[in-house]
Amino acid sequence: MMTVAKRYLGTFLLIVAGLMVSQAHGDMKPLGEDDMSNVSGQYGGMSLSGDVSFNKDGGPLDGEGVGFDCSSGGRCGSRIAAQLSEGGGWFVLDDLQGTFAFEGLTLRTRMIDSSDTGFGSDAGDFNREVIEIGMPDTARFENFSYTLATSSTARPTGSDFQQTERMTVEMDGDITLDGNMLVFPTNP
Amino acid sequence: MSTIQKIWSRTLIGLAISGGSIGAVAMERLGDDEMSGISGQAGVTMEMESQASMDTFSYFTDGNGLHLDDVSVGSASTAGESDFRTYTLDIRDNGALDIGFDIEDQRVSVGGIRLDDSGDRSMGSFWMDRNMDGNFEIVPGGALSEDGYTFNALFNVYNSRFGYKTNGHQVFLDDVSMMINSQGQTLDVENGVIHYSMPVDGNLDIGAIRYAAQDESFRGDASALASYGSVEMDFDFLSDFEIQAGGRFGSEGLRVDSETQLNTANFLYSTNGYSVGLNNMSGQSQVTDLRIDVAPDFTSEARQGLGFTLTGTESQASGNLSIGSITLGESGSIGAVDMQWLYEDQDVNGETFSNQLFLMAGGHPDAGPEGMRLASEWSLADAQLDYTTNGNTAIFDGIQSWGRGDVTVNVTGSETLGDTRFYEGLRVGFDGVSGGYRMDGLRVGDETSDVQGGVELLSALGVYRSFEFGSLDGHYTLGPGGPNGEGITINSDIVIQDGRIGALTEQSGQGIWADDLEFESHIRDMTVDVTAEGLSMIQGEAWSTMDIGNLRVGDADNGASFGRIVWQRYGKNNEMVISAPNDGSGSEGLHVALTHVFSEATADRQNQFLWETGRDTDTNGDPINGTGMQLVMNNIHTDDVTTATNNYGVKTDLEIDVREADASTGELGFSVNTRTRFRELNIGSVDMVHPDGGAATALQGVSIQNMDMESNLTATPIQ
Repeated sequence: MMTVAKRYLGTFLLIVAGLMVSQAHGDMKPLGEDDMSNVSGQYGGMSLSGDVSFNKDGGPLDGEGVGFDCSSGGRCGSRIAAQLSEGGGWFVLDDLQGTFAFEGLTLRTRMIDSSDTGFGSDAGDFNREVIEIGMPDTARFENFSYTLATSSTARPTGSDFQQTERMTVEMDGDITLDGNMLVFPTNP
Repeated sequence: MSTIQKIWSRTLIGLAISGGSIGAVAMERLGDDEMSGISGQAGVTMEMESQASMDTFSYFTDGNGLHLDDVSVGSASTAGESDFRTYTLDIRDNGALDIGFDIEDQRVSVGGIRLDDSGDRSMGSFWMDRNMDGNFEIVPGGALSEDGYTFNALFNVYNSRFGYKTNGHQVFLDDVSMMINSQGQTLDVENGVIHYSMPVDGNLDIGAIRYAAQDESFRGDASALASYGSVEMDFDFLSDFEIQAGGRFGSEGLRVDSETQLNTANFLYSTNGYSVGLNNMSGQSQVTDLRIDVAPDFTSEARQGLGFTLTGTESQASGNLSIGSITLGESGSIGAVDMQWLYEDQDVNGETFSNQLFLMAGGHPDAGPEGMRLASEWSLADAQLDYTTNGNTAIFDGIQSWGRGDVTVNVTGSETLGDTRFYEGLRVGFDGVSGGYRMDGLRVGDETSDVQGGVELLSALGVYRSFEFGSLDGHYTLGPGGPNGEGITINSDIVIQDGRIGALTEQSGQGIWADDLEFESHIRDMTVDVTAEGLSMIQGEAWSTMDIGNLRVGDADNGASFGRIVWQRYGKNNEMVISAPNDGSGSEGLHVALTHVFSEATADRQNQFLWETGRDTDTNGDPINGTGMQLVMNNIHTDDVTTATNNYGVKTDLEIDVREADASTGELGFSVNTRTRFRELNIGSVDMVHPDGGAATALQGVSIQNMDMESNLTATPIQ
């Protein structure tokens, strides 16, 4: 795929990602002052900063002659293949690599009850704790890319291996992730 | 007093000091040659060859007896022969009695220890082979008055052994040497209280710890027997004891109060030339109101035991220990550890827990009549563990632990007796133990820092914010020998029921809880040894099932549930290596390298993940497993891809450190860096299972290849 096309695809996916984040934001509720006052004195949560990287150095099968070879400009990232029907082809997320970095992602539990105004009357009815994942405001993709494809085999090797690449995504730069994600337990 | 009277007086004192066994010794009359060695006021020299035995030695408190059976003294090297001892006695100008001694080839053994109601059971037999020489001086006048005594002792123990045997199997410390220098011990009695002060500096070397399967306590060359490894330590401490009459039960027994100041100590455990070192240790401990009785234990069965009790508001044990550095193999230092503890009564979940231990005869009932059973209750009311790397500290704060149950100790062989499979080695069993631990969380920097989460990042190592269990049964059996010669081989079967693991727990009691937890684990031939890389553990074969009945958020008992999660594991040659960073910089930190091999499914073992929701409930409102909708990932397994093997597995490197989280503020954080790699991880199928409709396969297979994922995460308090 041409580099320009890849860039357009990357931009498209960033927009989609942004829309997804915006949609999520619609359901999210930033902590108000009252909420923050409830947080003080608690010691359950934590704030996480750091990064997660995929295949910075090629991976354990790099150069082993089984379809992964960074030095030749071939597949350098990891590969995830799923077979939807018995004897059928494989849906593949291929050549996944890159870095996702963030600062201040928070993780804690939170009470949702009638004092919460952001959930209409549902908050009072729920009246339970949820897991709250506080978004890190700004996160950063560094050389993050993957390819969506369909393939005849799970492994990218063998005489009958055939693969059709559907789309390649590249992401590089900052994104805004504002608000909280609340994970509600439902029925045991 | 005439000269002859003085000589006999000194001789009797010497006999009294040389050991209680002498009372029954077939004493040898001094021969003419020996008498010729006694010269006026210069002193007395006695040479003795002794062989003695005593059927039973008993100690009673309030009519309850502790009995030592078949007590004997004789030769260590040859059964039925005598040991050899030389004593020289002299009286110094200051009135001090000076006793020099040289004991060679002596075995002291106790055939069994039992209590009145032990029946045919025994705690097992103990034996000690020793060669020792030294000097012991008794000086009139103690620390509190002229009526007391001062003792000065300096002695060496060499080429000695200490063993424990049950049912024809034994473990023993081999090639033991020790030097003790204890000058200025004082003994006084004041108001019915014995005051004994003991300053000691010395060292202890245990050349090997060995196992043997034979009825007779081992004699002769043991070098052909496999070894658990060797131990070296040196120490300098001062202990003060106050001992008085009066136990916890009735009018008899003992009360002991003590204080110990550990000035310095170093410890090495070595296998095949590589060591785990605990260096530059110091600390102190206090024990208040420890009572010792032969008495009924704390259970409703009121079983008789030799009881050591720290119960009630007056009793406690506290202390602290600082370990300057912990070194592993040739990898360097993982950092420093400081710990503080307070054992005293506490109320947990509406129950009061104390600290008490009742020692009984028996052990595992299928292992045979010999062994030990320890009815135990513990209550660690408050503890703190500080971990420091490169000058930065993480504090695991507000640690509490509690529990009660029976622990059994046997030395066993590889055999099936009754319905129980035993393995070769020292078996520590758990019989109906309930308990748990919890901690407030982490403070990073110092004790004034905010408490924060972050322990959750260590869950891959089995470290949780809290863990409680209703019952723990099973065993760990520690056998001799590792993959490279010296080392430990562990076999284990553990069942935990009614457990609960907490994460992100808060002061209010809210958190995320793995509740209604059942856990069953089996480990075969796991070796532990020290290598150049660090402390290495390799599991021959391991399989387990963790069944989380409810994954709750909120309150631990009634919080809303995400449903049930079941995680079955099965693997061979799993490995863990704990080491320092070993990056050449000399920096400290904890590096854990894990290899988990996910083996292909067999008829009764596999790696499987199950998530079930929407379960029916019983009349108590509790969900019934198997009545809901299940998502099942079957036959999860790894593959080496390039060869028809499965050895690479999932490799995870964890580096744990305390480091700067924010360069602008200098804020410190608890840092866990993780790198996970695998060649191929497969899921055989992903099924959706309806309780009536059965399974429908959603995915025929999933295959993930060439994964190398690295995360660098630093946890700080939420601002």
